[in-house]
Amino acid sequence: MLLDLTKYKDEFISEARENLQTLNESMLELEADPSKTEALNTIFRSAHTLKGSSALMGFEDMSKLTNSMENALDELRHGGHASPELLDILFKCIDTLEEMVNNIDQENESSIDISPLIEALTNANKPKKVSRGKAGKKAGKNRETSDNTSSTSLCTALSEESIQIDATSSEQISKAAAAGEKCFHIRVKISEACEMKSVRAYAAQQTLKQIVHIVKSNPDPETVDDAALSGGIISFIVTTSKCVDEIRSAVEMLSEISEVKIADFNTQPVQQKTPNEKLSVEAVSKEMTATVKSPAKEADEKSSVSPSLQTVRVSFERLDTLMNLVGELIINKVQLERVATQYRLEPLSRALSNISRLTTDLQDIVMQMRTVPVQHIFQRFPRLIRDISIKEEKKVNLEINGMDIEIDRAVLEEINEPLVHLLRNSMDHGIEPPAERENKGKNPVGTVKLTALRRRDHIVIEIEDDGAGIDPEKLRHTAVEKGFISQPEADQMDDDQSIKLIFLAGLSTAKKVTDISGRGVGMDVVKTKIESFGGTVTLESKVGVGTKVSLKLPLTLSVTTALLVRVSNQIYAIPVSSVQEVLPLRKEQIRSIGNSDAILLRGNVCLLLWLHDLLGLPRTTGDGLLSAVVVEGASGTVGLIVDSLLGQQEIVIKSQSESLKIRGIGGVTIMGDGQVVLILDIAPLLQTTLHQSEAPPLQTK
Amino acid sequence: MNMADQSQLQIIVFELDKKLYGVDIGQVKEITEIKDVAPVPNAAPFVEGVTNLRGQVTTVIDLRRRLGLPSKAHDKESRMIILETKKGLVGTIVDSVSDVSMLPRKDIENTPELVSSTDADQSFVQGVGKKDGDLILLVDLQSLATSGLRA
Repeated sequence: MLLDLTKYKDEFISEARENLQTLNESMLELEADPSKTEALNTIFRSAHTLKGSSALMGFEDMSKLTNSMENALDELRHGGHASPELLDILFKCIDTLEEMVNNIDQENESSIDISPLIEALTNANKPKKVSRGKAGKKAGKNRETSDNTSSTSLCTALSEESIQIDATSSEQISKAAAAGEKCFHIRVKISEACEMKSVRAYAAQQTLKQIVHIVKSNPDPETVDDAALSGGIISFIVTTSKCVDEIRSAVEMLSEISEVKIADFNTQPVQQKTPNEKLSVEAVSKEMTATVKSPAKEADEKSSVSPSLQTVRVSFERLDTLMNLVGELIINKVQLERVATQYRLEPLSRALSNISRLTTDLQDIVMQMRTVPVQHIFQRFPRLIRDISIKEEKKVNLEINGMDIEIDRAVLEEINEPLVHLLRNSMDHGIEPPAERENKGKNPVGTVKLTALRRRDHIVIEIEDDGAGIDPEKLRHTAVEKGFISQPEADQMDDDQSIKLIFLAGLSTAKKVTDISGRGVGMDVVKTKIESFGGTVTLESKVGVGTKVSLKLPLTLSVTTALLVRVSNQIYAIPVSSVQEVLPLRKEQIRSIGNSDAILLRGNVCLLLWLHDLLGLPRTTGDGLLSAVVVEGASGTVGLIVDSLLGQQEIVIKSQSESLKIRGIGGVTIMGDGQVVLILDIAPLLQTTLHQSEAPPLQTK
Repeated sequence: MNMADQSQLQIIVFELDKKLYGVDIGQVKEITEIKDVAPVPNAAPFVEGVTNLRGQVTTVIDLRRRLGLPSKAHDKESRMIILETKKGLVGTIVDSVSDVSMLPRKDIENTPELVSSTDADQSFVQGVGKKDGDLILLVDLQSLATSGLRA
């Protein structure tokens, strides 16, 4: 077959990743409760699907590895012991598969040596001979009974189309069984695109005839016409001494066959008592189900068609383009509205108000399309926690809430790394070893809670642990030692202020600090990252009780609410997430403290900076009525002096041209009238100036 | 581009400080009038600011300042030559755009000494073309526009 497989590559990769995710999740379930057959079955299915699709795509290593996994899993399903060692090997296999998929994605040709893993899998299985399917195990009568029960409980697939067999056929079956042959129910699905299904059906029958004895075919391919085969499904009851694999591969060799399912055919003992009555075939166990192409999750034929038609995979790039176009549409609509008002065109205004509603709806829908549940990254964390807890010999229970909260994909991508960081922190430094916890009178099993919440116009993600907490005293001590603050400053700080010290760059990265403070690798990195897209980080901690970090995130990166301000005839946008409050300001209220300007704000001194200075624009002279925008700087609140406030507005953040990567400019937006407005990135903007002048003292309350 | 005729170069002729310049038409996306340009604080001195080109944010540079020529207020003749560069869209402001013309390659000379009258970095000069008795300085606008920008 000379198929160009490259075009299926993306589909393969995303499908493989989904399957790997399912594998990870179910493995964790199985690890928690080894008797959970449901999880085991899911694992088996996913491994099987991966095997099929990787073989189809010609990724041999992947299919080999999944095949070995399948063998090991099959052993488990037949009463094998899910030892921690075996589970560990399986986890490693999943990791390796993940790596392989990544290699394929990045077109990295480097191959991974899978032989140690395959060997490990085989060794783990040693007590029993490796076998696929039940074929090899049918010999023992005892086992047969147990198999029957298990297969009945697993049965779903073929039961809905029972084959009716008559007495003659059942006689044949019993005879064959007496001769040591097995009886199978083979279901062949001819692909929907096939033009002449009856010909295919005949071919399938002829192929089978060569290797097995066909007891019954339904419908009979020798007489059937295309109309009767509209479903494309033929069932055969066969007796044979051949094994399942051999039969399957023979049928799969035929073209235009989309699915082959083979199951044990068991005539029920009760029904055998009345041989004159027609017997119906039941019982197909899922492990016997093999498909050429990966089927939809449940094998129901009708439902396997419709779900795939109800969703379409669209690349985010296209959604971004769509989003941009909608943004353009809105800008142009505003322009039309101006014309309508200017020339008093009543009919145009009316038409435009309808268009307004439509564009708003359109925008909402596009925004919704870009959102994905946080589950997409949350679901990876149980595995992370498991690995760390094994490595550090800690016992931890991860509680996840709010998996279904939806957030813009771009935001989600940005927070993955910080979240991993924070979870690691909780595990590394928060949760104590079990013995220590017991000494403290705590539950030896620690708890890490990961919660996503929707608050009006933003998302909050909380990471909470019941670990050791952060000691503010130690933080103060280290900060003084490292020269970030002076001893008198440290003495003045209360515990809340001290805990904020953890966000200082360089304080927490040193290893020694980590050991002493018991926490905090690179908290400044987390803070910078979250703030870079308009989020905020807060941290609460109590020694001995635990730590809670809250991330407040915007719903989307591309639209944000901003305060528009005028600074010497230019308009700038300040994201409201950085704004604490705004106040009118008269020039005579400004006081000088040393070289800096300041104002008394509710009895506290608030440092003032002219935004004009920060932006290199001339200060405004004149009647003296200004405004101040109070923002949170790196070391306390700062009031930014602007000429006037123009109000709050939703703005669409435009992708920033490479040439505009200037410190303090977070992005660009285009206003309704087409005007380009720069969005200020407050934290870096303040940093540039604060480094130039001397650092202002921390604000004291 | 004129694949057929390799003996000629199609150029856009523009004017800066009463001198003629030419740029290979392959480098140019379009030519527009100058609309509102928002200044960008702390940017390179020759960056005029950013403008909205049908919804795409475009960096605008003043070619006079880039070349060290005396600056001049924009007027009705002023145009922006829009380039699609690796660093995004860039508009270069010129005094006027006068012509699109074919320049026979035999009329192009590599005589960099001729350009020492301007402060332009000579690596941007691709040659000097002769047309109807005028001299046209052929420049590589792409690299002229992107070098010196951040990132």
